[in-house]
Amino acid sequence: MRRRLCCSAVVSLVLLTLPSCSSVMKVGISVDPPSAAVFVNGVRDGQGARRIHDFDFGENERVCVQAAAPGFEPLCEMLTKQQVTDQLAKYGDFTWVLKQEK
Amino acid sequence: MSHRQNLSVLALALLTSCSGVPTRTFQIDAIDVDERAVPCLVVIGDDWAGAAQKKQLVNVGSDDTLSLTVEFTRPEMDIIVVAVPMDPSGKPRTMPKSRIESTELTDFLGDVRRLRVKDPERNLFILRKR
Repeated sequence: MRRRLCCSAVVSLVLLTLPSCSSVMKVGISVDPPSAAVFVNGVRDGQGARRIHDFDFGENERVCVQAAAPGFEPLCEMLTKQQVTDQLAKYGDFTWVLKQEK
Repeated sequence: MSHRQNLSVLALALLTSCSGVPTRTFQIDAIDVDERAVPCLVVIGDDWAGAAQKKQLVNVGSDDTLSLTVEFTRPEMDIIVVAVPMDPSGKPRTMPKSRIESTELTDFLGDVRRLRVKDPERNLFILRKR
């Protein structure tokens, strides 16, 4: 009985630790204009209206976030895990406003 | 060969493999702000001649990506992507030799990204008109 409890405790501990080991971060992004296309690591990932995106760092040092819309200057940000963590801790979501083309 | 010689050869081999320049293969793609594929030349550092000679092109003939192997002689390497003027048959009319020349020929502004060896494999460049 004691052994079974011990095993359950270890399994629970491993399961609790797993999310913190994950290389995927849930990050809220809003882009103005909301119709802008959003790309994460070069792959289209919806539009600019606020939503949660997965940042999968995996073996990578940085993630690349881009946004583009007709009539606006495209945006490109290369973000380290630390930069994302700091942003989430201090300000929450990422919010970008695209500049209109001149 | 003595045991000592064997060890020396092994140590030398290890040293050689450790001192090599790190390389990374990236997948490069280019679109405009309307998400349409743009035919482009991809330049590593400032090697415009090498890019043209090795035909480091993307979206020429079809909507594709370019597998680009980069030697990291520095911690960060500049990758420049510029639009290429096309003739009606779908072949590059000429290979631009600078960002300015590309803009004059295509109206697109080139884009540059400073990549690290551990950056994401897929790199999308979004070009806009001047």
